[in-house]
Amino acid sequence: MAEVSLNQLHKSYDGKTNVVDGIDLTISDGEFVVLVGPSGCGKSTTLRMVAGLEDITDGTITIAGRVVNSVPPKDRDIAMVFQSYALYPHMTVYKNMAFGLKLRKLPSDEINRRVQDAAQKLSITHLLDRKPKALSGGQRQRVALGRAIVRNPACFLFDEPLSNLDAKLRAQTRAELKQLHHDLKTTSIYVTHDQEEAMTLGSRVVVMSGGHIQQAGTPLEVYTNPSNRFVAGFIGMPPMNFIDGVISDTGAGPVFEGGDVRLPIAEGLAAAVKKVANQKVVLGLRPEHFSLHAGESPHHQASVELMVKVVEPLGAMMDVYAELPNGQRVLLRTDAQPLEVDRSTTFYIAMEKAHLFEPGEYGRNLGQSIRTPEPTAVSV
Amino acid sequence: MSTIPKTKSKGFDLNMLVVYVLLVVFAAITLVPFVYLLFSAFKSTESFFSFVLWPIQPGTIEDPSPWYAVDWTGFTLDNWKTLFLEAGILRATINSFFISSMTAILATLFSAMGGYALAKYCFKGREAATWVVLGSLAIPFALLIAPGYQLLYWLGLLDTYTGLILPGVAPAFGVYLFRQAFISSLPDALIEAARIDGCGDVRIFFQIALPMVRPMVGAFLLITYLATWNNFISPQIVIQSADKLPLSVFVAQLRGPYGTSWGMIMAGTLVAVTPVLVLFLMLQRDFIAGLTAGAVKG
Repeated sequence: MAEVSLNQLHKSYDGKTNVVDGIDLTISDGEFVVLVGPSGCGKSTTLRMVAGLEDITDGTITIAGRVVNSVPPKDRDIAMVFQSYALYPHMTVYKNMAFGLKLRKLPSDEINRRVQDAAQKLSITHLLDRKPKALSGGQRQRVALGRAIVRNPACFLFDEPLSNLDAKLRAQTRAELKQLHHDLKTTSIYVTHDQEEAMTLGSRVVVMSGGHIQQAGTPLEVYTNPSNRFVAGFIGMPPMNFIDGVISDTGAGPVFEGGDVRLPIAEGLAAAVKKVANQKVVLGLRPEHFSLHAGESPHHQASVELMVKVVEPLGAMMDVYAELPNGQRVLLRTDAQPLEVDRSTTFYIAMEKAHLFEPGEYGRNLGQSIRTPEPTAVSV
Repeated sequence: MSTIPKTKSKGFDLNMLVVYVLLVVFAAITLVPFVYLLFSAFKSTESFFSFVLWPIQPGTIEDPSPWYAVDWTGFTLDNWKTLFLEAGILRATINSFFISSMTAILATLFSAMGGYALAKYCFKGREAATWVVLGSLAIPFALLIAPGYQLLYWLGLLDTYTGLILPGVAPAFGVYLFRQAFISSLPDALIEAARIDGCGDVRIFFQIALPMVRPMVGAFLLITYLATWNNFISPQIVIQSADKLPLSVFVAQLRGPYGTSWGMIMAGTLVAVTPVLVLFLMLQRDFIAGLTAGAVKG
């Protein structure tokens, strides 16, 4: 186990554009950090630099106090699980798992003990004599995990390891991964583009875009207190609704005007928005912060008339696609109940949970410094 | 309840009959020269010129011998005795085995290494190198005979096994074939996994990369072995000493200026053909698998 530290990490393939642009991140001993972001954000490149599979253009990587910039992958004391499993097809499961240990010249009884232990942990003992082609996707993933575990490395690196599994198996393997980390307590860096995976697995989530870290924090922090509009839009499913508008002061307090609606700004944000009065802002509303009933919670006070266009029942909840008076579409998630399509309906909004951002894709969250994460479970 | 789909071909199928008749005809056309070769190798000179296949006992015009009345006295082992005891075909056979084996092994190894480098290593000039390999495929062999000869002369390799083997150890065709095989069969992640597991470049090549293109290795070994075994022009040009000649040239030289023992030539040809036939039958599965690798999604 070890602390992994990235300092001013840069990566450029052409010498002009940085795909990773000055990343500073310290992963504590035993921490499970998830790098999440859209394709091309630099998360996989960062992981591959930690693994030693990509050269570092600038900056330093330290594993367990040792700068490993020019240390070959095999000597970094890491183990990596690949998206494509990367099992050696001509070797049995046992040999796949034992291969790295043999190369490290461990005694054969020690190799056998470690392989058997890992196989037992992952319930793949009965598969040890099979070749990878005789395994299902889930079983292959377990073997890939087993190959990493037997090494007993300082750090696990996961490069989208669940992407090739179907939804059910993904959820199941995700839980097992979490359990495994709980048992082994090995420092882990996990890369995914799936924000749900990031939220459920990570003890810390690092949201990346454009080669930069947009925000690093606990899953709850990045969800309830996103640093900018990008993070707010990326984390959370269904995604946050954004409405362009301006802040005006009517005397009774600041009001958001946009999308042909007027919404009062909650007290918590009032101080923050004073500086941006009469300036363009973006209002961020999470789908679950809409309700069909006023006062359902103490917060749902502000009301808005929306034209319901599509209703998607999800069981206990339902997703509602509706239009603001100016025609902009918003997505809401409320308790399931009968709702007529193409009919104007009143929805209530928990405005104290709303966010205000500066305009632009990476517009700063105007209220970020004020808010603290709520100690409630996050729905993603 | 699931039902087993019924097969259609219970009755008479004219199409299949035509296909089978055609296949039998083609098989016969292919096999006739082999049968002719087999009989000729064991026939006396007189029988060779008198009968196309097996010798038939003499009959009369009124009472001709039937085709199955084999005249066993028309068969002889003299061709073989002369071939092995006097002409020295054993030495030529050993030469052929040695030259073909060495060429096949080295050509496969170096082609695989070259193809692997072009497929998986990033280096300056990789594209250019690939184009040179591809371009050299377009140069006809005949065009390379004279400069090749001169080069061997300068290197002092004429009339040596090295002079015969060396020019064929890194064929452009093989390098390109293996490049394609590595691109389609060896994911980069596998190399990276091996690197993290602790492999160096050499171990990755031999323990991870080569097994991934095993069918291609088998196919290419066979192709090169057969091509070298059957190669006539190169040894004819490079080798001058009789004791270094491979079978292909040796058999051709059995034709004397004042008379030719056709039976002996046929026996020599049979000796030349048999090992490669056996090798092909043994490795044909790899051969076909290698040639069709990547043709269909596996």
